[in-house]
Amino acid sequence: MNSKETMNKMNARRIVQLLIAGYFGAVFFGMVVCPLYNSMWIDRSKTEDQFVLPGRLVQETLPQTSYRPNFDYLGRSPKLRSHTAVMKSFEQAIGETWKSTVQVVSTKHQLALGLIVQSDGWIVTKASQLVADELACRLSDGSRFPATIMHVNHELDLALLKVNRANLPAIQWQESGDVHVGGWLATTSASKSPIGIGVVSVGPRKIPPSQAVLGVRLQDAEKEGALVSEVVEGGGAEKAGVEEGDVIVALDSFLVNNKEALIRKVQTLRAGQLVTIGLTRNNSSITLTAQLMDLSANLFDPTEMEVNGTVSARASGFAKVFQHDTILAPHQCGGPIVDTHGRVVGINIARAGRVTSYAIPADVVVPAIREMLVLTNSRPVAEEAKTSQ
Amino acid sequence: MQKFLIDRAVLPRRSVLASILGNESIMTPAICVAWLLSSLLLSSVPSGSFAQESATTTLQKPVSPSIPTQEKQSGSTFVSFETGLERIARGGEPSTLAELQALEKQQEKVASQINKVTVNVQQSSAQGSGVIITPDGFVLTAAHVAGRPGRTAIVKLSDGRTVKAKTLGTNRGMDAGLLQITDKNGAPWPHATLGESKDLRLGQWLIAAGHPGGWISDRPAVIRVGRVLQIMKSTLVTDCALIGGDSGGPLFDLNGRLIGIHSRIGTETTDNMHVPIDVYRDSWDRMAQSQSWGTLPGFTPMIGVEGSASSARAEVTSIAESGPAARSGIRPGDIILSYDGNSISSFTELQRAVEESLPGDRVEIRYERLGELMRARIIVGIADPQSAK
Repeated sequence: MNSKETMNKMNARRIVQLLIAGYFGAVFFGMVVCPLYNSMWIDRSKTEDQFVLPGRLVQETLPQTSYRPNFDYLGRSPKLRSHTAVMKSFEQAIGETWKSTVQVVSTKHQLALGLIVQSDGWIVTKASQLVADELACRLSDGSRFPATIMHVNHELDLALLKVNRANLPAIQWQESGDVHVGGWLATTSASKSPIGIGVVSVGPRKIPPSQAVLGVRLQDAEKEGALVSEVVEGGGAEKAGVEEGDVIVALDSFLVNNKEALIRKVQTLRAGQLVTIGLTRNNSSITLTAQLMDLSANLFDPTEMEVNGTVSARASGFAKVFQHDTILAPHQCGGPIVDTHGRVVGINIARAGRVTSYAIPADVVVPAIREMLVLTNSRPVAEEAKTSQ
Repeated sequence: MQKFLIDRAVLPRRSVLASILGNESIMTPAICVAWLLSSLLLSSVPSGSFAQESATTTLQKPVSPSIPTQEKQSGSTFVSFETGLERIARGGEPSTLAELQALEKQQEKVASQINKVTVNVQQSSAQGSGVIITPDGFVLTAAHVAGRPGRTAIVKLSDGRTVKAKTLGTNRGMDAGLLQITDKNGAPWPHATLGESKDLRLGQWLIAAGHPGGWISDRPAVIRVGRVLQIMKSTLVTDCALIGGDSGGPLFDLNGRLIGIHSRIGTETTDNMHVPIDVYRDSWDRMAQSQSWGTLPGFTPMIGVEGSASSARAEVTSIAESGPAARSGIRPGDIILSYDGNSISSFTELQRAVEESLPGDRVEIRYERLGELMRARIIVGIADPQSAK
């Protein structure tokens, strides 16, 4: 018994000694061998994949294939601000808002996000995103319902939709505090994890409207009309199917005499608006529907287009929005944006550029939604339009 | 197999790098791309010489009298840590709601301090950003914002005040530039607390400010938050999204200490490059004396040959039509043996040798053709980023 105990003690001591030796060995390896190895590496290696460890400079090299180095080095994922662990902590912050968030979809794609504003099937979203023949809303429980546009507030670019369904979880507008510059925001989707996070970049301000453009370069045609000399990639005209060489002869009910007349006409319209283009192509007449876009989308500069990514067709002309740096796609606008206390502080209304997303603050949105609900009185505008045709 | 074309050797496919200058910028996309080239040029200095260089800079301990390390706490942007931020301060992710909110509180505090030291800089037709770092009005900016020494620049403070400044020196290779406010009215100027970029850790949370898109009258400095993704001697990479007009703007740590200046971007929103603050420390004496040095953007040397990095010798596989090499008689299949008196044993070495020469240099090239030793004199040309696109 006694001898066994001593044996155990001795073993324990030996283990401790080994551990200590191992520790010093590791320290020696870390302090002496590694730097030696590193310095050899610096001098001789010609590989392009050496990176800097925290707090230690090794060598500046970059891979040849992309400017951005491969962050996924040493088997570690990049420490991005949208790291999974960060997003997990946001899940705690956003509370139940995601249950009131819906995806507004066409038959093919998601068009926008939206929020349930009244439990008997009333939903608000970004109006200029709703370019589709058929609309539906996909709810957080996975169910999907056809939706009808009931009212549009063009000033705010908000649309009120109706789905035939009751007992939906309506958004809870709390007494929302002001947003603070530098404070976190999460953009919810119809699932538990937010689709994007960012901070308030600029407090509420007015964004004046920028000029609307069709996304073409024009010349005077031989006879009547404006000749399309170039179709700008990513513009409304391109999406509508306008081609180089087409001659635009009409815009809605306006007959286009020449290039100047068309430009002047477009200038009177609003970005995000849909227009009907009458054109002649190879002696045949074609009618297309195109969406006007903001010139602020930097449509005519390919470099700007590339670094900014896709922006909302309507990204300006808002009376009061706050700016944040969440990276959103245009089809991720129209839904709620939440602070770290779970308060819904506004609705994302536009992606305006690489560093810029806009949200309409709650103090503007809440009364506007109430007004839309009162104005509609459950009478569908779209149906009215259909019957009048 | 990796292929290099000297005149477009380091141009990545996807990421068209744009120098982040304001809308009114004189910089064409062509020059923007060149910016990338010059930045990469730096990073592909042969390993040996780089190791030496870093050794000597650590020896040159005494830095400028004007940005001494002791002045660390002298600025007005320093904010001490909130409690509960210990782990995050080291570059960790907030894992609880409390940690997230503590981080947010810290960000908001820093954001509220840095607006007053962040400025808009207008020099000839270019617009960028800058940051005041001394009570007597020294302003750090990017070299491509400062332009040439001895010019008059306009500095706009975030409160709307406009003051005159003089451009001082630039370290163009690093994209570091310096100005000094010459107006006495308003001094002592609010100025940033300086940090040290050598202390940075991967994952550390950062706050960026600037005037993206140029000066907008009712908009203060625009705040963004991100993390350190890569640390290099010449460049910090973060996911603080930047865009044209941010160039020269400040990057702060969570204590409100200035640790970098915005310089350039790639396509991805995670490709945001900043000049580390220590570069300014090291370059201070020369910049304060209005010296300008380093490679100019849009001035990337090339000789117009293509080859394979993996082959044992510097064999030319193809020749850019009417490029310098083609004009001097070099043909595909030739093996380059020396460049400007330096022996060349691989295509990568040739690439580096060319990168170190300047456009316009007359260089002797010795090469082997069918076992015969040949010699050619060529004039180094300028890479045309347009053709490389």
